[in-house]
Parts: sequence; C-alpha cells; structure tokens
Amino acid sequence: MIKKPEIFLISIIALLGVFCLSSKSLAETAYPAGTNQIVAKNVCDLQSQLKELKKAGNNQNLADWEKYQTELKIRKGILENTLDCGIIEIANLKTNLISLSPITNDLIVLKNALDNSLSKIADYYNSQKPRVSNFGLSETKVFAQNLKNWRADNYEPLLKRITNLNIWLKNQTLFEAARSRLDKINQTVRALKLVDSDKIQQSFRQVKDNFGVASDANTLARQSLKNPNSVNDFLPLMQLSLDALAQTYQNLFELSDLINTLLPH
Amino acid sequence: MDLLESLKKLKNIGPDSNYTRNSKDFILRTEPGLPLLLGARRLFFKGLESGAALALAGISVILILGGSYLTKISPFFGARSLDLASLKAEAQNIDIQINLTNLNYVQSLGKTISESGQSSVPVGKLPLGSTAVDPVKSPQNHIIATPKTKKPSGLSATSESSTAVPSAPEEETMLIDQALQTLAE
Repeated sequence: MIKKPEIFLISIIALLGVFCLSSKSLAETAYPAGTNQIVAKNVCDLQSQLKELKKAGNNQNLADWEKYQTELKIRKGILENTLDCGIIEIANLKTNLISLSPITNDLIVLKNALDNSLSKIADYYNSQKPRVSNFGLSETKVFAQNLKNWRADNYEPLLKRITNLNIWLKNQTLFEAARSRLDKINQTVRALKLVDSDKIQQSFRQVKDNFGVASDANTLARQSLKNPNSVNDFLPLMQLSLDALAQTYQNLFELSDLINTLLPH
Repeated sequence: MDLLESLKKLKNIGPDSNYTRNSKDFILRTEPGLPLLLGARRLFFKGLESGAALALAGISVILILGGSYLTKISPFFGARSLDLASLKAEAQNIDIQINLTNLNYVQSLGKTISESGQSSVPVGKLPLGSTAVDPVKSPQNHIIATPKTKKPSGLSATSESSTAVPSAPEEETMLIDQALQTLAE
C-alpha cells in the first residue's frame, strides 16, 4: 500500500518539474534564441599592405626602376591577398547561410540557390589568382578596377539577398507570437462576453487592422526575397511591417487596459 | 508434615523475572484481535483514504500540465492572453528588430548613395533614423494601408547592440573594395 507521505512527495516533485519547464518557456519568449549578428570567423588584414604601398610611392630614395619594381611587387601582393580575402568572405557567408532554417520549400530552394551562387563567386576568385603574377603595373590597375566592378554586379546583390533572407526569417517568430496572441485575446473577449461593448469592438478592430498591415507588408517582403530585381524593396517593406507590428502591440496594451476597466471587480 | 511444608513452599513459586518482562512486552505489542466486521470496515476506509490521496495528486498534475489547453477552453484561464509581462517582452523584441532593420536600411542606403556619387556622406556613417534622403525605392506602389504612425509609448526603444546584419562581412567588403579602389587609381 502506498503511504500518504510518498504521494505528497511525488506531487511536490511533479509541481517543481512543471515550474522549471514553465520558466524555461517564458525565458525563451522574453529572449528569443538567435540574433541578427553574423560573425566573421576569419578577418582579412589589407590595411598594412595599403600603408606599405603608400610608403613605397612616397619613397624618394629609390631609383625609378627600383620604385617601379617595389610598387609592382606590393600591388601584386595586395591583389592576391584581396582575392584570398574574397574567398574568406565567401566562406563566412556560407557558414551563416547554412545556419538559416527556412521551413517552406520555396525558401529552401532559394537558400540552396544562394549557396550555389556563393560557390561560383569563390570559383571565380580562385580562377583569377594565377593571372596576377604576370601583371605589369598598368595591368594591376585595370584588373583592380574590373574586379571592383565585377563585385558590385555579382557579390553585393548576393550579399544583400542573404542579409534580407536572414532578417525575414528571424522576424517570423515575432509574427507567430503576435498571431497566437491575437487568437487568444479573441477567445478571451468572446468568453468574457465583452463582444457587445463598442469600445472593445473598436479597440480590437484597430488591433486587427494594424496586424493586417503588418502581415501584408511581411508577405510582400517575402515575395521580394525571391526576386533578384527587388533586392532594394525588401528593407522598406520589412520596416513598414515591423512598425505596424509595434503599433499592434500598442493597441493590445490599450485593449488590455480597457478589458480590465470593464470587467467587474 | 514434610508434605505440608512442601505444599506451603509452593505458594512462593513464581515465574522468572526476565520471562515475565518479555511476556508482558509481547502482550503489549500485539494488537487486540478485532471482531471480523470491524477489521473489514477499517480496511475499507484505509483503502478509500489512500485512493483519494492518489486521485488528488493525479488531478493536480493533470490540471497543471493541462493548463495550456484549459486556457483555450475556459474564460477563467483565458486571462493569460492579457498577461502584461509577456506582452511587454514580445513588444520589446519587436523594438529590437525595428532598430536592427533600420540600421541595415540606413547602411545600405548610404552605400547606394555613395556609389551613385550623389552624396559625399561616407558609407555606413549616416545617423540612425536619418530622414535626410528618400528611400531608394518607395513601397508606395504596393496596395497596402499605412498604419497609424504614432510610436508606442509603452514600448522601450532598446537596441540590444549596434550589431547590424551583417556587421563583420560588411566591414570586410568595405576593406576589399577600398583596397581595389586604391589599386585602381
């Protein structure tokens, strides 16, 4: 026969366990996991080489030929190092892209496509490295300018798209929390039979309207992710959506105050 | 006469003191035998007591674990949906995300302007929330209503840190481009 003290002990342990689980889930609500920061694992140091180039250019003690040779050597070194830095840059971005976890198929496909594009850029850098050793001074200048233009056309839009995807995915937890919150409040208002109150109706309508704006802007931001030509549309839409979501929560605070005043004490 | 004296001695006969003590203890330890009916009744009530205690513990655990379901079906538990502490926590998360997104927006705007040569403002140096320039592409061609723009007073505008998305790769990108620009000159 189980004795009463043992039953009491089991109940206490069960209560403690549930309390610990609840605290953990609350902490996760207050401090959602993950941040927007993307951290570079390897950092490039081109500054010292650039200073060396400037110093060589200003060195009046060298003969013209020596100066030319010195400058050419430094320039080639910087170009090779720049290409290496570019490869490190791509590796870091790949690491961060892999950490993103889209749920829907279309975004998974997008993530894979972005990853492939990053690989192609790294391959391009690797293919250009062997050329540098054969350059003369003017060729280093032309190559540098071409590479800069190439990066502006290929790498930078890709970086933006990856950044946008990261921002969008991180923001979805906020929308899910808001959606869940709205559902619960809707049930509460109905259950407490406050639906007939005009003030409550008006306040709740504001909540729904602002949440609607936030959702619409969020959907449009999502669509812009998939279109490489809409890279610059994304951030303004995301800003708009988050501002509307913030306004939704302000309305929720007001609704909460209103319900508390209307409920009998 | 001997027989009479022997019989008189019998009066003094007694049990061993240790034996007496042990027997007394034994008797005192043993519960009196109850009538059959009284014993069964007691057993029944004992069982009922234990069962009730078990049932109460079980109900407590179910109530606690099933609380989330009950908040959906019962108005009494629905007050959790208006829990101010968690509302504030969710609202603060949104504030943080707004600041980070704004920072990204300003940085990308600064870079775009710098590349087009329309401004001498250095890349990434625009103050947060600057409205000095129009957005590169306005979302106004999309059919969505604009929300009421009043900044929520109940929300604290905290920014977790100034780490934008992404901060380190942006710095690397600028360094590489700076190096290429210097070499191209």
